[in-house]
Amino acid sequence: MQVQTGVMRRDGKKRFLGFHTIPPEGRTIELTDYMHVGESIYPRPFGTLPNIASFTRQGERKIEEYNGPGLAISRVEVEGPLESWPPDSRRRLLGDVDLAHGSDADAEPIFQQWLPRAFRRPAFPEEIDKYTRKFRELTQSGRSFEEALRWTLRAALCSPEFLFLEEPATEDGIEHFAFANRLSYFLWSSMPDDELIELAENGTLTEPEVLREQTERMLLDPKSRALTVGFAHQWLDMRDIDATSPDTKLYPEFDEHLKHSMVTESERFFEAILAENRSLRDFIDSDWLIVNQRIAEHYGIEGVTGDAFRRVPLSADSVRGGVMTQASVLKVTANGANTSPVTRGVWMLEKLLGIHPPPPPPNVPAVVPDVTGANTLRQLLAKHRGGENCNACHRLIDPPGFALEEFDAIGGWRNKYRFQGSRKLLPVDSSGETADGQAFQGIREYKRLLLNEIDQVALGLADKLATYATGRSMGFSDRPDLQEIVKRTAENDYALREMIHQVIQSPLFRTP
Amino acid sequence: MNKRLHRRTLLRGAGTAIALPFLDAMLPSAFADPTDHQVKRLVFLNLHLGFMERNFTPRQPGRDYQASKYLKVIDEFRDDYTVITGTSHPGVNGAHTASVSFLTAAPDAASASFKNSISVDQVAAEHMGDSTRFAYLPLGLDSRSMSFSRSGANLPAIHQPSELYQRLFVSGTPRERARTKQRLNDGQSIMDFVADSAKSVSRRLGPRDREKLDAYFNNVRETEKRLMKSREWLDIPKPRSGTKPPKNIQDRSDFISKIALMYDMIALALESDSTRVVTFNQPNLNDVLPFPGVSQGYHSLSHHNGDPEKIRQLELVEIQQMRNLHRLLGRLQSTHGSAGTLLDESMVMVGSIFGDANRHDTNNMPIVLAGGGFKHGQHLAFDPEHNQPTANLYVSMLQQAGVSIDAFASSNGTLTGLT
Repeated sequence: MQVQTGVMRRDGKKRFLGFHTIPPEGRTIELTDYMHVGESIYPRPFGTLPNIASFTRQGERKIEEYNGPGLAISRVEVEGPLESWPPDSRRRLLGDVDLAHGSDADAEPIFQQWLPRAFRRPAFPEEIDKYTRKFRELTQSGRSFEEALRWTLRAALCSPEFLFLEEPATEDGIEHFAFANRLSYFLWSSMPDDELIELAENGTLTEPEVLREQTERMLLDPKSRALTVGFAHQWLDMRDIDATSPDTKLYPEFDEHLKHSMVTESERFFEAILAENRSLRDFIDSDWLIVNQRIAEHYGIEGVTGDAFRRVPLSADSVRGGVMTQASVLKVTANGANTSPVTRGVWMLEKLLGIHPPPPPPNVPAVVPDVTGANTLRQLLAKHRGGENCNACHRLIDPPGFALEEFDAIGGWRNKYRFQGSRKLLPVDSSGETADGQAFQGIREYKRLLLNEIDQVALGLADKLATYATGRSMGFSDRPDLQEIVKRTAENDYALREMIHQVIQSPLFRTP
Repeated sequence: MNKRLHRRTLLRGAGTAIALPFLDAMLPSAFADPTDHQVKRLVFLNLHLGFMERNFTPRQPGRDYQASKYLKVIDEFRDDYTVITGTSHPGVNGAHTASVSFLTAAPDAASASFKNSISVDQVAAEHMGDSTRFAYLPLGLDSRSMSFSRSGANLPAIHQPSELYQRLFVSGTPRERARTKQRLNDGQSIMDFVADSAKSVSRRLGPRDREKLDAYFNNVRETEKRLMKSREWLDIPKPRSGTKPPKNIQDRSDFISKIALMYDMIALALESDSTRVVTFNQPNLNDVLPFPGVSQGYHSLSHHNGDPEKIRQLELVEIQQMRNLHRLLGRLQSTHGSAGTLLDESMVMVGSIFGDANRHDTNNMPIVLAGGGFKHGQHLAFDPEHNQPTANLYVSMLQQAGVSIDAFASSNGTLTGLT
């Protein structure tokens, strides 16, 4: 049996911690987490009978009548706090100052070392002065050292200097500390460390060689995982993984474990391409994947056991490889029961090719799937779409969508559509013709054609990385810079890591 | 004879009010002005996924409409509500993201440059918020509310009934109150302090960033005003509640019970005249309602694509939504307000951004408008092909509440047929 563990937060949401396989004789699970007041540990078993949901208090049947597998918890032990007192954070803030006996003179050094950290740049003398004066004013009106310190620190944390990334412009782009911040929030989603601040201070951070070296250092740091969670999740719509729950009758094999495995697969895939200096081509098609047993079974890949993710080679005839045939992507582009070539086609254009087709004109009704199972959505679309008007966009949108018809709403491969009922199942047609007239039979041939569009894919991704890195939409005037990024990345075999370097080295990364 | 105390009387004696024992005469509407027969209240309820059109919309317009499957549930109040169809917010789209525009009508929620605008409840609160402890109450099932400030910031929702009860009815010990007072004073002076920083930061930045900073500055000022108001009301005793503090519902998936409890709390807030402006937000829920016959998530059911089994289950959930509404309307109707029933004085607007959540269609929003002294008992059916701006309804509601305003967001007039 599988158990998912997590923490139930006070707002009723869960913080996921891990999956654990439980042998029949039982086992001990050890978890480390920072728990807040009012939170509780949340275990959730998998491998119970699928209809267990109906055995609840309000359900149709009493829980006593349930005789499927279950989970018994014999003991829960909580140990902590694991940090020693006082914690490092307190020492970093106060140094040797004792809160109970601090004097006004102790306050200034605290501001001197803390305000630059809060503002992520050296503090101006008048800022230190402003906070010190306020502090004195408070103690003179009878507030204790601690109260006055709390007041001023709260104020700093409400201030625009803390809340915003200040990006003052100089003749050659944003100034050095702002640049260090931009770099740091791009790769780490966090403040610059001492080394970056030092390089900003002596003005050398923007020198191409220094910048390349720092980028490498930052990408090797575990903090760069934030780039996967921040960028890759947004790019591939992983944040929508919970937006629909697959129909339990059509997809009884779907559960939380599969869902989490899907997202982890895509994360690991992105991280591997980044870490191993692999080409953007791997996003279109790859001859390897990183999977655990659950995903491997889902894809029909043999010989993978256990929950750990590892690299597997793909056979030459595999339909998998690249991001578009990963279960996570196939799930977020479906609605839980049906798949639509239009939805998936639009996703492919926007995410991989960076093309944004206009929304359908008003007064065009959406095509509703035939629940009797007599027609495929593809057949209904063909009837529905006649005029040149529709065709202008649909000749772009539909081909990738058609190619992905081979995959169901949870990313399993299919050659027939699943349907609840006795009707003969309809076969899948995943053939099509690209906008420029190249015919393809199925997803493998489509991917091969798409590999020829690598420059378009690279441009689309450069645009997205640059937007994420600078926090502004790329406009027409950024076009030459983006093209230059693509050109230089192409010279390095389209490596993702190189593209990140090129974005950072580009003039657009210095533009306010 | 109305014996409730005049709010101003109480304010005049505010210095000693803490020491006074609680007077029953101050209940149920502790601070309502009995001489003011124009007391109006506004309640906006967002049902996110809306209703299936075929079960919601009556086939006939006008007064002689035959109650649809869903409206039958609240048919008891037929003379106290109007069902409104054929309105929508022009340009509002973007699938589920669009629901942030339910009360603001701000277009293109999904676009990168989207910035929300003030919500209708906040306009009302600016005009009528001074007479109650809470100028408005933004409520929800999580921290997202339907209320947006003038600078387009989402105001955090109160989503735990126990916390709401605490804020409405529990005054705390004198020591706690002194601490709160200190906290509010500090908060106010901190806002002052940081507003000053914003000025110096602004000098260092370009015009685009300055715009962001202006929004920050407005938020600081709005926060300051809220703190000041809380400070003013701190020494005025809170009304006493006739009911025990609620127990929060622990079963996360039982959203229908959670909504019911929040509706009860809304009634309590109005009864005690703690506020006259309430918004309530149901986010996009995908829990499986623990209800016999329901086995799939609410959101998943909304994408039924005509599947009879999904439609059957969705109907069960939507009927429960109507039952909750029935309970709220019943409660407001059976409670006395300052002059008539609480329902007569409260405009309760229930709706969704989606005319058809199955297709993410934002045309033809389903709306029930109850109470508030409008001409009711009718189906106001506007053209399903050429919708009226829903903002027209908001203008009508604001005017009914005594706000002198003739436009809001995308409105082009008032909604005809309500008066």
